[in-house]
Amino acid sequence: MTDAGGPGAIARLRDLLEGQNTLGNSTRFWYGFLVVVGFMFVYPFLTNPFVLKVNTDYFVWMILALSLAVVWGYTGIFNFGQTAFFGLGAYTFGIVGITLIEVTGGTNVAILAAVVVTVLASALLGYFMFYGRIRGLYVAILTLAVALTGNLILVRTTNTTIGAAELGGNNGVTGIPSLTLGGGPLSVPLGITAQYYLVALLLVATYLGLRILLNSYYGYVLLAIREDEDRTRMLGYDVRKLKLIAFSLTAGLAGFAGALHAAWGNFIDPTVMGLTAASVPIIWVTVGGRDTLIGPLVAAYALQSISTKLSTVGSGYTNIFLGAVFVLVVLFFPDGLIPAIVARWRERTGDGHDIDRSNTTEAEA
Amino acid sequence: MTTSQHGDERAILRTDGLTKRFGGLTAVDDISFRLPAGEIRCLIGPNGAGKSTFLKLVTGTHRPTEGTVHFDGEDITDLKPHVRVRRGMSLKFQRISTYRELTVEQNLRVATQRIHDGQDATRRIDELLDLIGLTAEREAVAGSLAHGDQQWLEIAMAMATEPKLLLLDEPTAGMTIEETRETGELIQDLVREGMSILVVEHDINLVRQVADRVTVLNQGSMLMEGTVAEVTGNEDVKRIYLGKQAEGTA
Amino acid sequence: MAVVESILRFLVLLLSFFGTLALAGLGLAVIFGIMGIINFAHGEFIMIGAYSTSIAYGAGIPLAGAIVVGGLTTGAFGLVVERLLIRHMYDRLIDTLVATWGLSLILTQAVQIQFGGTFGSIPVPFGTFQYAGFSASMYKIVLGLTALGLFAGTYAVFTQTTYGLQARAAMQNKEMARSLGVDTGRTYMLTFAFGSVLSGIAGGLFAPLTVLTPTMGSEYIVEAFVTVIVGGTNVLIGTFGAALSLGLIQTPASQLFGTLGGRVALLVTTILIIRVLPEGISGVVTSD
Repeated sequence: MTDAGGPGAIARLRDLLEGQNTLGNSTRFWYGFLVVVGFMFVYPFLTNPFVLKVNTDYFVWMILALSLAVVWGYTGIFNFGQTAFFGLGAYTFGIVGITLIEVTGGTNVAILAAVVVTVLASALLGYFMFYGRIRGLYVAILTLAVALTGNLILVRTTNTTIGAAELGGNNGVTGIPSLTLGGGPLSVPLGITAQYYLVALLLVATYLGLRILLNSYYGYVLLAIREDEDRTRMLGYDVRKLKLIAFSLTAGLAGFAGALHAAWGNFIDPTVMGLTAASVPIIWVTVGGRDTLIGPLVAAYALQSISTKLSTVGSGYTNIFLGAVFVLVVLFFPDGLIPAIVARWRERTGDGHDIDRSNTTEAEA
Repeated sequence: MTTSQHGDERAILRTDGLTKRFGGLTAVDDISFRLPAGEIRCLIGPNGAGKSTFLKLVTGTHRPTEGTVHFDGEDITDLKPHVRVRRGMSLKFQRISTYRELTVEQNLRVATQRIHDGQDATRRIDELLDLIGLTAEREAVAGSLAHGDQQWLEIAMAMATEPKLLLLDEPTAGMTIEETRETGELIQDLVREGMSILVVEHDINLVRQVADRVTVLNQGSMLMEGTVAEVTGNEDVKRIYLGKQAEGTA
Repeated sequence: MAVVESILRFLVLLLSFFGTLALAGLGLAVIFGIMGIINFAHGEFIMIGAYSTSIAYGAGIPLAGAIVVGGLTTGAFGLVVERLLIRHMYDRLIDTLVATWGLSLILTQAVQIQFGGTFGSIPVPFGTFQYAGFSASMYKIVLGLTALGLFAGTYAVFTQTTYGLQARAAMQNKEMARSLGVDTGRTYMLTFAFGSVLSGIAGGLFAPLTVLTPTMGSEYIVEAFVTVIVGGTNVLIGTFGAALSLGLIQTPASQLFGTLGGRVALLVTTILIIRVLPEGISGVVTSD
């Protein structure tokens, strides 16, 4: 059983990555995946730094989309204030980064702090929600209320300093350091291209990591919790604890994305926790399909690109466009646009062995 | 009094003075109950007799107002539901509660994976599918199965946790006569494998088929316990059933 | 006298916070209580109420009448939304939430495009209330009292009208209500419209106290959310109890820590309360 050969290793890897809980288990899917990753790799040679910079941020948003897909789509926890944790991560990174950059020379501590702070904050909120056993919709409005109150607090932080960072109220925090690689005095700040590669790598790693998770023991538990909590409890699972863990770890992932976003723009302001910002990740997951990972990824990239285009045209119609997409998709494709397209395509080609959980009723309509 | 002849056997489940009050209503009133290991017991009683509440007190979904629950010799009164399941107690809900949107295999994997992993789990799932005759429906979405098949799937999920005690809340609701009989046979097989079973059941045919003994609840209290013949011959039992359900089924 | 003054100060502030919480929450609570739906565009419904009140006021209608216009306009708008959107999703609670959120984005932006950043303001009526060294805006007192009046009106609607009886029946048991001949679709439509009227009236009442902007809804949405969470599904007792108890927290908190402190206290209190009362005040009322 010492298969040093490639095929054995690949088969074992696919075994981990594939399963009925995620879309994309065919060999063709993985070829497509490699092509996309390959393109991401050569993209810097094909375009200018400005486009590269914009794409780096899209990748950050895609990590946020993944975090919401897992907590909302797979676990059924209606965390409609995921941007509160994204924002908390961004502010924490900003504050710690600005304060420590002169001392440590790098941003490693700041990244760590952003994740730790968001995990702790979300665990505290999650404890009250899940151990108080509040129902689904209450989770939605409470998490959103948390984000909006966070926004309210941040807006009033004019002339407030934490560490060496000036919070600046509506004007936001400026001068946030860019990501660095290496540690201590050997830390090197990353340029646009290096940052692009790092964030791209993190995105791919997050996607693959979550696929492994979702097709493992925990993936099945999360799905089970989404479908029926009482049933799952009576199969011996500690549902409240598992929900708390899922909620805080995905919040931590959102906080990590927030830190990357702050480092990317060297800036963060309170609008990240506003009402519009909070709705944006929900749109990605709704349009992309709640129980897939690839759907929200595609939707996040596509909708962010379109929004950027619309806003550069100079019109104020971005939100109307997003709102209309929201309403129309929910009305006509309640399982999401991407799963509907996949189902239609399979119908045509009669192909694929993926599980079609939507049971094709909506897709056929 | 009726249980004294079992006094020396080990009880898998025992409740002492179990009482549950909701506000002014006493749903379960001072029930002291004992289920010897390896027995099939049927719990019957008219609607509102407290059967479901009693079951919820056993599983831990409700906390008793007074009294204790012992499982396999251990006081479990303060344990949470999922911990009780881990100690070897399993429940098939009254309403169908398979994961409707998940496939049959996903359903069974959730049920088995806590005990078996990897290849073991797959083997165990194959066994269970074979047992309930749903091998061909492995990848079907549970919600699309026929009603009887969903009941079977539920029973299989309850079995998958490998319980010492299986609690079945109206397992044959909505089944045909033939399916009910098969369910009865399955229940008898399980006991031969060493399980103890408590069944809440309305269908008197199933009760006749499987019950070692029958416990009758009425208005939250235990009315009597005995063999099927003793219970069906009892005047009090006839009165509560005929009195409350004049056009009754049994 | 200083004691009387500070008691007065506390009571007036309490009345005004109670009024704001109750008004912000009532329309949302009616829709949630009867239909189980959370309208995420609730803040924008308040905004529509405020704008249409301001338009009517600008056209020369006295404020009280203008507020009625605001309520009815919002109610009519709610009716349209219910017909076009909500009724397709009665059995999909989360989808209604998401769809109304989309609606909220559209409304905010559409109003921004149509009317610009700010809109005609309404002067605060009634002048001030004076006692010794203490003075307060009379209108804030009126706001609290009007909230009480709206509770009474809502109570009357639910107990005295056919619609109200049917709505309560549908809330308690939809299937049973249907089998008794209640047209639940129509009941839901009227409920959504009624909730919208209440939100519109709230917007009209808020209009003199705030700057009218397209995003003004988000100023009230947190208040509305926490009131509904703490109140639970019992529309009247729950909302009233929630507005009162949250007001009792917000008043001292804002006196000690300022406006922002009061609002943060609202959220923190809500989070603490759900640990003990997952179904809110309604759970306490209905448990026995």
